[in-house]
Amino acid sequence: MRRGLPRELLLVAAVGVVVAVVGVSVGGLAQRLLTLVLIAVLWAMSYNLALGVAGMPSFGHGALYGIGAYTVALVLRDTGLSFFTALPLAGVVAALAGAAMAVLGTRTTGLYFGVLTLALGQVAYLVVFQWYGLTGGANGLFGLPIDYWLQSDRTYLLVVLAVVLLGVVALRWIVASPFGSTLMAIRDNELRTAFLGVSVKRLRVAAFAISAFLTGIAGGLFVGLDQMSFPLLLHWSSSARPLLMTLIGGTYAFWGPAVGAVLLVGSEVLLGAETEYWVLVLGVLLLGLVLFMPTGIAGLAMSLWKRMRWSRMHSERTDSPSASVGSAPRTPSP
Amino acid sequence: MDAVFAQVVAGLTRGMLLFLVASGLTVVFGMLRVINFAHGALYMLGAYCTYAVASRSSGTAGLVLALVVVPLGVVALGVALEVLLYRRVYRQEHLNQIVLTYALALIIAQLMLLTFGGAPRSLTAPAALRGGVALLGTQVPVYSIVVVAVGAVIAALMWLLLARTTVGWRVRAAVDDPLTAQSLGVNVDLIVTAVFAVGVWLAALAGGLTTPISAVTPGMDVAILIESFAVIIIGGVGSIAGALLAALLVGLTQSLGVLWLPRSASLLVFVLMVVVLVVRPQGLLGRRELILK
Repeated sequence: MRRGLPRELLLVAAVGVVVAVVGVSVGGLAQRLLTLVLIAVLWAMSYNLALGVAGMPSFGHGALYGIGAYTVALVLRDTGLSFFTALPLAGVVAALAGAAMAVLGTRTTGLYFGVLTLALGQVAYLVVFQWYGLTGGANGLFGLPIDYWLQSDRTYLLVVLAVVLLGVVALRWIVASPFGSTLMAIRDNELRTAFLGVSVKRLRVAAFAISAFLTGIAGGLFVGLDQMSFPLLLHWSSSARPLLMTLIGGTYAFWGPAVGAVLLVGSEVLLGAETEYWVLVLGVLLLGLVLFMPTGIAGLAMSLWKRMRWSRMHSERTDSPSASVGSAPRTPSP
Repeated sequence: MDAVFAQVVAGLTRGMLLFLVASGLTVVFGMLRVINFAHGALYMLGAYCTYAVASRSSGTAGLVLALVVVPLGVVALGVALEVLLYRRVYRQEHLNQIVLTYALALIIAQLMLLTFGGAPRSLTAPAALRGGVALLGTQVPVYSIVVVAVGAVIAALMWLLLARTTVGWRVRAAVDDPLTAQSLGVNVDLIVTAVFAVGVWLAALAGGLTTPISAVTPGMDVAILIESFAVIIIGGVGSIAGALLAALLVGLTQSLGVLWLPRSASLLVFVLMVVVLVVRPQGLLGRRELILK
């Protein structure tokens, strides 16, 4: 895993340069779409640190995203500090909330953990929704004062791009570190890892807090785009978004969630503007995804790639490509 | 004092409806480890269809007819979904099941929005169910008594069925350990479908029962689902008695909360949930091993 890192860094840099070049040359609307996609990429990839790497299915990441958003919003409104002071604060506050969520949640595991995070996230939603004096209640917060030079769509896109790339590289580094390997060991066999002397709960809480930190940053970045924040960001329907992005892309591939984020946000903006039946379309698409592509797009790509490589090797050796198709592996091993 | 008693009655009514919805969800979750996000949508479907049928006639007969026919229709849909779709993902990862049920919830809710529109619909209760009965010095709405009685009868029947019949033994065996039950000759697939059907029937019935007392609106599916999750967590996964206890507790917390702490009433339920989680993570009547699977 470690050996692959420099090459992937080059890839990240290349993608960053391409997005930056495309970003500065397209119109304002496309710049906003790109910004939204980038924020979603960070959200989905930090979410997958909890789900795919640590094996903690969270249904409460909407609340963490919203907590990050409201932190930035409140700091901007009440303190007059710069956006760049508010952004790390958003990460810290979200990480604290995430740690609290994980401490309560890790009293159980698996799917039940998910139900707990959903209910706890709903608590955060209700607090924000009803604390009218602080959060503006159902109306949310609008017209927040942001640093003057960040108000151009183009500049803001570049700032978001830089932050997201930094976050993604940090995530890649974490996943490849011994900490990341231990998390995956816990995911694959909790009991055995515990017997090796690993403090399972502590590592899980730490992983969840890191995931929450970057999710909070993503939420903060969202506030900078339109200088507003609203309670729906914390709602459980918002929590479904990173989960769906991750599952569309694939949980076991590191870049899977990014693919899912691009597809979900992209299709939402492009198709959602066209049809009022977007939710219906989304439902049908998800149904198709589960029934026909249960390992996500990355999983499908991986199994296709394996099949191709396998049949190529096979045909070189035996000259009978027809025999290779039926017995190729159908699903990738995680 | 009168106000408190009135809120207690309202809380018990709400709690019984919540029990009907949550009991199906908790058993399916305990047995299959499937979180059925479409459960709330089926509840809403029951409510809208009951409204559609019962609003055509004004008498009690119309409502009763709707409450008999509509849940059966929703069950037919639920069984079709279980056999055609859910079954295909039981052996897949849990997350795929979640996406499947979430997608169905989105589709059903959106189709209902397209059919019935976004405006709240409300049904006037038939005259026979509208009045009050003098009880302990105050007027108690007849309809509340009916709902609480229906809920109590259903809870008793469920307990009898599960604890006292061979069918109940098989269901409990399938919940505890589907593999062993299957190898001992229990038809687990059939039991799964049957339990699923009963759960859907209860949800649709609860949806229908709410129509005379609260407006039918888009979004009621999500609201009931979140409350049901709180009930499951408080009562304990897979436990019907726990669901009954927790549902009544949640109902009372909400209604008395409105009286005493009006600004944070909706939060109180979740505070209760967090307290239970800290003190007893498996829920009031749940078993530990079921939350660690």
